Amino acid sequence: MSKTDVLVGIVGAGAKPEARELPEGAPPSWGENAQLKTVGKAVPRTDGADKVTGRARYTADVQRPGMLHGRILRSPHPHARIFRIDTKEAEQQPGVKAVVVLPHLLGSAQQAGDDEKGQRFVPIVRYYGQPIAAVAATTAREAQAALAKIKVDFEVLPFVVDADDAQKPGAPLVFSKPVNMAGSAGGGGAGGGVPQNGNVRGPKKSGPRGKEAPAMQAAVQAAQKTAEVTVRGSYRTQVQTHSPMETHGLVAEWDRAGQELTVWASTQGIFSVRDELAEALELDQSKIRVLMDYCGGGFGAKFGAGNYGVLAAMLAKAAGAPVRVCLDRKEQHLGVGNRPGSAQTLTLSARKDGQLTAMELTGWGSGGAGAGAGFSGPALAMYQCPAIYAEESDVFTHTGPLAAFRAPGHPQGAFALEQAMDELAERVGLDPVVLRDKNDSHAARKEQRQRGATLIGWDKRHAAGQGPKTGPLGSVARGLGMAQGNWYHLVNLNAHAEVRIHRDGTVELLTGVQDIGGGIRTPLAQVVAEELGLPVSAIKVTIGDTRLPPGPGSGGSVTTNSITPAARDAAYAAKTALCKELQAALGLDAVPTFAADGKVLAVKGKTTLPPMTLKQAASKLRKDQVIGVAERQADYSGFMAGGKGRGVGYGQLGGVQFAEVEVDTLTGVVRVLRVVAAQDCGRPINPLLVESQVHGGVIQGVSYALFEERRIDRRTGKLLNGNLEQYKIAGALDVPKIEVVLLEDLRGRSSTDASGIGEPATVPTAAAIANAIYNAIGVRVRELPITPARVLAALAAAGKK
Amino acid sequence: MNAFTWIEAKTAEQAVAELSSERGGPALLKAGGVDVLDRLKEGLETPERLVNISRLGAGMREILVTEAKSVPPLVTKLLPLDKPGGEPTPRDCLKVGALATLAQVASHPRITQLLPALSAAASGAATPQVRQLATVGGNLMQRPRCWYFRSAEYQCLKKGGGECFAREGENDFHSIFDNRVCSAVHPSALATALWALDAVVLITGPQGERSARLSALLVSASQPGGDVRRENKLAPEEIITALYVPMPKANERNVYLKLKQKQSFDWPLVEVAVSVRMSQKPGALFEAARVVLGSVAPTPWRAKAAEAAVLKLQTGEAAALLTVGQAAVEGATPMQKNGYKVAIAQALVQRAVAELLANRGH
Repeated sequence: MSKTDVLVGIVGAGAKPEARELPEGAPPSWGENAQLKTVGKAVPRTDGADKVTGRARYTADVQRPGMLHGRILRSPHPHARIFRIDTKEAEQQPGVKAVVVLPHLLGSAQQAGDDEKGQRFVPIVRYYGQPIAAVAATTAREAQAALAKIKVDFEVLPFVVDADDAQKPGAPLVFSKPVNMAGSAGGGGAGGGVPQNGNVRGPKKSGPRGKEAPAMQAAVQAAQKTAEVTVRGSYRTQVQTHSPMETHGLVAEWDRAGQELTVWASTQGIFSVRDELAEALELDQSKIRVLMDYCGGGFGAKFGAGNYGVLAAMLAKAAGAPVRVCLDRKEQHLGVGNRPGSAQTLTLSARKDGQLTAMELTGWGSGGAGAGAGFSGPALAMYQCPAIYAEESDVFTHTGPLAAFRAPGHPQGAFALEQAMDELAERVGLDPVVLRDKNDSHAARKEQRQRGATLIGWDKRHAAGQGPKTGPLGSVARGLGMAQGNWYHLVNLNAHAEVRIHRDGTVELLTGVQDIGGGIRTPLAQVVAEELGLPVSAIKVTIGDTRLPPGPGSGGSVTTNSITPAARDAAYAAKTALCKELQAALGLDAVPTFAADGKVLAVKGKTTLPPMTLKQAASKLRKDQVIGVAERQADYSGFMAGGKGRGVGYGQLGGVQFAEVEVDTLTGVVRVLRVVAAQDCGRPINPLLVESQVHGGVIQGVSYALFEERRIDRRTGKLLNGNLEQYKIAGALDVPKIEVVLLEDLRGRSSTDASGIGEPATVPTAAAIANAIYNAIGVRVRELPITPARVLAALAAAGKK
Repeated sequence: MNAFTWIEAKTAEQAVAELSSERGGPALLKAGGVDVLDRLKEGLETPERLVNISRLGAGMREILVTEAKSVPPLVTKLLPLDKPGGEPTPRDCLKVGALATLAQVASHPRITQLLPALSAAASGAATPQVRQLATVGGNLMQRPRCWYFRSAEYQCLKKGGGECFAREGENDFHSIFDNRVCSAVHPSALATALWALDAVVLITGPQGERSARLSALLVSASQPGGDVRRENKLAPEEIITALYVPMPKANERNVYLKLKQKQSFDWPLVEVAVSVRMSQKPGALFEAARVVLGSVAPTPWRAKAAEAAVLKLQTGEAAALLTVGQAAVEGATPMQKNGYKVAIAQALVQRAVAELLANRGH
């Protein structure tokens, strides 16, 4: 370790050198992007042409010789006990090559005892659409037809699919015994040691990082008694499904001996697919290879192999042939995850000058048959408030389980917190931006508030409900609102990279990361190109294969943060190796050096040799290549917190969004006209791709705010809108004008200083829209999605219509 | 989707013949195939034979203004009367072949110019991709989008079951009128506009050609001749070959408005089509009016009280328009979750009339 001064802070807004402990052999700090050739530049994504021409191969495009098609039998009942499964008749159907029963259900909370490994089938059904068995046949049609021939004897049990109903006395129990759910990352709320009564598990009690919950609870109670201003409100958010463009799917193929398994998976974590398959199939990790070229989005729901993946592997083994299982759109809505719904009550206590004195958040989240549906992330970490206390419970229902979903818990939490702050601002007579300046010292957010407010024209904002009305019959009101978000500098240390410089001067980067869709190949190429002084096109990047040096799963916005430092360090190591090798090969007294322009400078005796290009230098190698390998180091000067293979970096990601909306007060229809998204992600390696992620986050946030909602019939427990027609999702005409303000926020924590963007970009959107709606019509809508029905009801309740 | 035999019809008559049960197992007519494919995929229908008419002759696809003397008598006899009790007078009509696509209708210059209600209904439906394939006949005959009906797992009234699941269930997008039997709304935007424009449908069947007013062809379960399992009175072996829409006279205007939650690819929450004859006399703005609401009932819903209110209008001021809007939703029977549609229907009717007044000199 050595102390080095590196540039820290927001470039153009106070960045200055700060001492950091760099590990031995770390490459020198890059300084600001303006000084770099390739990194920080808007390089078009290298896979763009493949994607728009259809050359890019997705999992559903994989064709293997003799490949069969698998279809899954799903429960038609939301709650049932299975006594017997008879697959004999199905096995006799035309084209059918294998029928298997799912041995162990993945993705739901696990109740001890009723789901032991080794059992032939899962005896309890806890949601409509729960997978039970699967058929592989020569065609998908034959497989589908054969499903009807699997005989399942069910004892149909009473069910509850509504989270309010589930909390009533006598409600049918989803779990009769305590459950666990490992690392579901639904957003908090799970964790061990909480009570479970009926369908309610919790409350989990928490305070901000480093503070004890009981002390915080007492502090909040005390502060509430002396509060000069109190703002209390209740908020509800809906269940949103991930709805990636590409549904979940996996192709499984065993070697001839049936010992080793190769799978092509649509995933955001090829290694977690491997690990889940290894565990489910009791197979060595080393005997499973997972491949993926391209993924059509995952948003948190595509980490493991999933039940469909395990079934595909089992079918392939039983049939002795490759099997593809790709879910249809209804299956995607049903059983591979969702953003849980929530009901939150938030109480802010403050002084008359707007200074927060206490914050209390209580409520429940419901992730169906899954746990971990909390929402307290923003409340616990966004503002400087001396007393913050949260109580969150899980409410179980007989519906498909949650999964991590783009900033788990945070859009829900921000929806409540940021509306409450808006309300507080009005109560104490402060501009919402000023109120936040008073209570939030986060440097990036402070800068984002300023720049965002200027861009949206915040100074032209009218008082709530006081703007001019336009449109037909003068009923259309416009409004401006803002909200902010938080996220974390998360690092996955399972991030290795290898850079090869070949004798012909070509360069390869190999790393087992995967592209969830953000386009990680391009920033990886940029980082290596920058280090070697080459154009991006000179770097061949190979990813998406578990035979490569392990890479991080793409969740928690860790990918760029975790893998680009390893890639840069590997390039640096390869460059160092090349120079050392040149010294030996050319019999030099000193090790040659690399100039910033990529030229290799060498001195032989007293003669300075002509500068060599990398290609010229490589041609002098004695071996066919030099190789540099590296892995992600802990953050410079360490982590704030850590775990197995993970680290939480110091500080936080910010993000402030401003929305302009139009509300038709006669029909309740809301249109989002503009969103200004001011975001930070450490050092932006590729601003073009960062902006693309912000666009996606904002669009998904608009869709969450106004449209999306999984609808389940309360009387039958079945999904009603398992498609993209009745499950309303934003389309092209619903997308506002999005303007991105991107900070270059150098943190001096790794060799690339990148951080994440995928998640923070969607955290504040719904809250900003809700605040803009309030500004437009003077009435607050506290429930998502903000439908015409809800807007009209809110106006009617306020007597404004 | 079940396996079926594909039959390529060469003429409308052949298609009619193929639909007969004497030719084999249950048959289903396919034109653009947009809705048919949805229904087959969900297993709502399992025909043994699919009779494709999408490649029938150009006459089934054409859109043209037909002079009064060339309008078939079958059509003329059903045209609106100039005065009550009089004889139908021949009139220029827009002929739209049943296989014309929504995209064709939306972009046809004569329609845009004189029948803006029809072009607006066509251009606002579904998505650009769907509009390239979806036909006028198919749009009228498509089945409702009620999510209970659209799921094979609900044996609802429309499928011969004993219960309307929407009644006590998730009924946000269902009917606010005529909803005591089945509360699915009629899905055709064109039907709403065509109803207000007094369109006549030409039909070919085993007994030859016949005609019907669109408003007589589409019936709900509660109306005479209604059958909850269907949305119209087309016989199983009949096909629509063309539509005739009377061309507006110089003092006639029409407008169509729809309100969607999403602006891309969404079904309307409420639509309204209004056609009027402007009044030349002092004291009244209009002398005839048709006000038809869509997406609020199992058929397009003619709001007669609103029509009467329109005829009484003396000014276009907001307060006056409010009386029309209120009249339009008289007798609405919203269910637990769709009360908001009443307010929207009222607002849309007011706006439609306001728009007609704004364009009155046009």
